[in-house]
Amino acid sequence: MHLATCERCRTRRAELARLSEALRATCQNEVLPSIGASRAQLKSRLDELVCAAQGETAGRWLDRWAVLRRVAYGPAVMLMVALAGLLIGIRHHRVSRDTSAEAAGIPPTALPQPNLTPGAIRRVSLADVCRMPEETVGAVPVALQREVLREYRLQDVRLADYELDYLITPDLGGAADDVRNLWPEPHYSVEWNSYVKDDLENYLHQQVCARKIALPVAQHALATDWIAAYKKYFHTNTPLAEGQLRRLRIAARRERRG
Amino acid sequence: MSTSSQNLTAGLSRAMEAAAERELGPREIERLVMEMFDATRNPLLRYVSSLGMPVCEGEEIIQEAFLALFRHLQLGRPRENLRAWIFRVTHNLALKQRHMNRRLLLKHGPEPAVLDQQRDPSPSPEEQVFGKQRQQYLRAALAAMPERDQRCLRLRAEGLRYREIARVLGISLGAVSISLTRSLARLGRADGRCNGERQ
Repeated sequence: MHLATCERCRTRRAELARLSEALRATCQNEVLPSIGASRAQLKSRLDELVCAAQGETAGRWLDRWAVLRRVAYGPAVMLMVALAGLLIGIRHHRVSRDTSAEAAGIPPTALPQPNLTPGAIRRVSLADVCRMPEETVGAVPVALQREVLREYRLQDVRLADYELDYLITPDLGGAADDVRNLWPEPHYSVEWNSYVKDDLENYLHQQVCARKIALPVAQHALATDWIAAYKKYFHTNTPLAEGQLRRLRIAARRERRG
Repeated sequence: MSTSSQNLTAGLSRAMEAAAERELGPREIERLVMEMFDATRNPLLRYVSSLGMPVCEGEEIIQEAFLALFRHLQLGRPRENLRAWIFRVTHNLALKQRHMNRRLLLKHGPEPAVLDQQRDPSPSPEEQVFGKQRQQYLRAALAAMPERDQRCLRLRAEGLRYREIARVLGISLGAVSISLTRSLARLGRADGRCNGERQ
């Protein structure tokens, strides 16, 4: 309505449209490589993920069918199955941390092997931790990456599907060049992945520098069970969505200013 | 982003939102992700290149972003405005990689292969021959702006709305508005100087 009566605004709008078009032409006047090769590469990687997803579904159906068949073999078989189940249940009480993680729906690879990656820290003060900008450590050398993957018997996997993550992040005093503090964390194939752990590390760093959590406590939380720590500090059983995390950050900033 | 590409991406987003109520199988998710890749790969690559990334690294970053999109959809996460989502993830991955590259650069010095892949800001012979002086002025004006203003303009040039730009860059809607108003004014002055020289 206003534009119909205001010539100045109509002129201004036309000027902006002309500038925007010139800007678009400038920014898009760049020669890019053909999309074909990158498209084929993405398709290949997605095919692997699809096959992995379909394999998991088929495996679950096969397990259910096997249970049904055993149950159908009469009372004696049922009794034997029940006794076998009781023995297996007793054995499962003495579970390692990895098996209990499976029972909780967390694939073993979402947590490091404690015997291979117990964690390692370096001598650092609270002031040093809080003075450091984020990501002060460079990329992990390829030779060290390969050594860690060999220890985890993953030497044949694609590096891009994993992040060689620090169990205790260097931003919280973790050792940057110690193999005991490194483990291969999957990017995409599990819910509790490296991006979720990044959120926990950022939160712990904020809380440590705000003197809400002691540095050794944060280091211990990361070294023992980072998923349990995430659930505890974010009060959730599943990774939070981006919007929920943003609200938490805003609330933390207000608290610091208040 | 061209109008047809914008329409295609908008159509894809609507299709995904319409399918939000039902669970998508892995193959269906793969098909949707590939369609989105076809529609947004070029704008994303241009944007990542504008952040100073070599093209090959930009391609890899975009691959990671789309793999993350697949996983995002597979986990049944929100599907509204996936165009802004993919730009935001790509933006964050590019910044992280750029930071790592800078640290390696400080430590080891530049690699010849990387230097070869950097975009040459000086005008090409074609631009000189065909007198695309206006684009030179605009490009120079763009390069002289603060980084945040450049990013806002680049994303706007790729067709993102103000709200989407705010979400990608993690800034407020007001900050986007101020940045674009200021930047377009600068571009206007640069454009005016170019017209003045021609006359």
